[in-house]
Amino acid sequence: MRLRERCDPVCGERLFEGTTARGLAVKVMPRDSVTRSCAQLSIDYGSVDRRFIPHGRARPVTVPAGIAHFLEHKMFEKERGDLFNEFSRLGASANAMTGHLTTSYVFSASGHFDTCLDTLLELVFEPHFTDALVEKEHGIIDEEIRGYDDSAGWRAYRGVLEGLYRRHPVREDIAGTSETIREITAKQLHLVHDAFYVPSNAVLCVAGAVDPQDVVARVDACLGTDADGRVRASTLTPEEPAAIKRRRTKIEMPVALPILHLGFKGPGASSGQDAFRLETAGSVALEILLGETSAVHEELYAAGLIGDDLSFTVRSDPSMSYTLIGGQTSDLKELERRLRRALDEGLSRSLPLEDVKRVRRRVLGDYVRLLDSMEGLCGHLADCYRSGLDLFSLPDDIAKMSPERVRKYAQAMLGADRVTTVSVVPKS
Amino acid sequence: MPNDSPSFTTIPLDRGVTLHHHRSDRFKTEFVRVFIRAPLDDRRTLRHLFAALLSRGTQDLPTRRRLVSRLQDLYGAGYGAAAQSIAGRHVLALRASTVAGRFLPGRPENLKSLLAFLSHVLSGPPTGADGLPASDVFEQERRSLKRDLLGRVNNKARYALDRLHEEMYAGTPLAHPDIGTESSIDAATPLATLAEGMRTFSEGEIDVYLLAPCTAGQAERLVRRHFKLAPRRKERLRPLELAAPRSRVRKVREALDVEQGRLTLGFRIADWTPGEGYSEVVLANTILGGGPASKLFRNVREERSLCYDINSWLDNVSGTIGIQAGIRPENHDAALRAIRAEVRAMKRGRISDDEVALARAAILSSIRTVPDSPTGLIEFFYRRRLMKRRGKTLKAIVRGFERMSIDDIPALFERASLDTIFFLDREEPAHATA
Repeated sequence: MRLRERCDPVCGERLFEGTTARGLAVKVMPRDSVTRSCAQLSIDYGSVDRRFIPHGRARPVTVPAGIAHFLEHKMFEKERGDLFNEFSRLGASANAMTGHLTTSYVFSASGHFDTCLDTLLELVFEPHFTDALVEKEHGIIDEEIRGYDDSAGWRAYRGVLEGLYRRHPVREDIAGTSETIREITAKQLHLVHDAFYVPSNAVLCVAGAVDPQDVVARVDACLGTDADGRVRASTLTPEEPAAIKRRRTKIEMPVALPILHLGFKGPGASSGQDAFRLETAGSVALEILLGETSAVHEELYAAGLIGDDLSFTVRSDPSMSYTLIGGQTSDLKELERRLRRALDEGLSRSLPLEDVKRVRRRVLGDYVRLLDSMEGLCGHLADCYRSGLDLFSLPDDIAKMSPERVRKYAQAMLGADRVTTVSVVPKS
Repeated sequence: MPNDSPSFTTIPLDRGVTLHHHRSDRFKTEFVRVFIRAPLDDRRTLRHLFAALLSRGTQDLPTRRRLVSRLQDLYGAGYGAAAQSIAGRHVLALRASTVAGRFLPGRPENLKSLLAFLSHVLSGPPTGADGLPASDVFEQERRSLKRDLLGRVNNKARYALDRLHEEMYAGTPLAHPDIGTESSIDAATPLATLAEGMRTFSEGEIDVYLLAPCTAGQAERLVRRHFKLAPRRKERLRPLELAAPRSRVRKVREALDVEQGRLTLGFRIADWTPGEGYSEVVLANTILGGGPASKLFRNVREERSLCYDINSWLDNVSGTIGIQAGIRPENHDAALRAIRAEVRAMKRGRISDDEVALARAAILSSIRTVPDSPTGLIEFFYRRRLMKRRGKTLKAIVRGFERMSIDDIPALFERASLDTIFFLDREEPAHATA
């Protein structure tokens, strides 16, 4: 595999990228000045991929909710033992994350990088599932789900997605439920692994004290150099109507103060680039209109309607986009009224150029800081790959954000007619 | 390791005022930390409020809005003020960082701007004509602190841990959350808060950490120019006030409407000297419950499927071992038995070579990678300074762990006795019948 070398335009950091004969995309950012090396292998497969056509079959199958997360747990166990321990033995720390759209496996090591990389590739591409191992995992994941169910923030987030989406599987919990995980079998795990865990559906991102050519050689040695032509199975995502599912959800649980979450259903992005613009513009607009430099934030804080935990999340992807605004409050109704009014008024006129320039400076600073974080770099490289974006073009994209462009995209993301409200209140 | 033994050059600026400088151009960000020591006493709430006021503004940037705008102008400079318990002290900590100007358009002198900003912070929060913080701002921060206190219940793991401490250390300062109690927050006044904060600024021993590509001489000149720090007395550390160990285990059950129970155990180590046996403590905790290769994770979670999360911690200031697991309430007895069996195994020295090797590898890796994180590097060395473990380079610390035997671990656990069990249980449904 030939690697292409490029330099980032701000700091001159080098990125080597290419695709192996087996179809695995590889991105490496070598850094001589650090001790640790990090690697992230991300699969384009997440909790929303519930219905798909397996290889060699004509008809689609539907698998239980939570299977992507269950699979991620079970990938660590092999016939020779638990690979968590293998990483520990090498002085490395390993982890894995399942999201709506992707599943990622990561390690961070201060030595033995080659062996860690071998272990990562074995972890992801060599499954070992037995009914006994699957049965053992039920109790562990059931406890994980219960732990999340006790988290007020998570319940509110779940409430927003259930309120916004009618059919899209993003409305289901990533981990599934106690009931759905009981339906999962070793056979089903093999089915989804075979369908999605193929090299051409993955990206390996590495940052740290490594030689890019050594990384590639190691990958080729592990996976082989014969192209097998396997591709990702096709996922069937239900058509999602533009309208939301429900306007209001109230959750009672032990919390000290009520929590308000407003969720906005955005448009599906036309491309990864479009999704990036929607996400960036939404975030910039919210920072200007509701962030700590805004008059609204100052007033809400002074009135005791918010604390220091008011937060925004903006997500965009071709199949779904949403924005979430949330925090604790002493007055649910009044906070909702004032937040919505601030957004309506703020987006009805041009955003101040000085505010946009200031936020652009902050975002440029964030970009430079990111280049110091090996784990952060791996995550961003993987995200950019999935969206078809170039990490190094981000400073330029950010510089081009005009107030009008920010407003246009933010208006699309924050439509006043596609809002769901979730309140978490102390149990009476 | 690119720089296998990074350490800070210590430069005494005055009595009780020390600059620690680490020259490095490996990061694209420059870091400043200011740590000011105070005793771990009953004025912690005041210091938290003072830190909150410092986050709200400075004399020249008197509102949070203006302060954050200024930080964003500096390409998203980081800044925060906090009070925290570290190594038996209460420390007022200011943190600030900025992207190095050499990577930015026009090559701005961000470090100088940041130090100038911090010099304003060190002159205290904004005050009115009466010399006091504005009463509305003070009330907002009081309300925010109380919100944090009450909001602990939103995080069940954290809440169970705080409740364990309340029960275990009843009658001592460690019983309460660091931010205090509702009554201590209610009792605070703008005058008392300002007085305590400014007293800490002027009397507390100060350590300034600067991580930037400049020379030590340049660092000293920069800090002397921007920070006017008067001499102060060297710290006289007060012994930590601890309740006497119990003769019988205290068991506390509290019911909430939760899905998952939080089983939390506190052990006390007899005749503990704060700071004793650092290496043994770190190794012992890693073996017991410090990660996925630990006894608790492998045997309670993986073998018995009794929990999702389980971990232990060992506080070598108070001599406490803590263990917490998220469990299904009906598994309480089985989980408790399984956890106690692992503690017994530690006492009896039933520690396999594999368990030691895995724990040692994890510790060595975490120490070797300390230099990769500027904040980690500063906090690692400041904590060591407070624990009087000065002078050792990372290389020497790594060598110490490589050579360490586990012979002392059983004796350490033999001195540990279970003191308190706090169980956050699920409420029985109101309609349930006995």
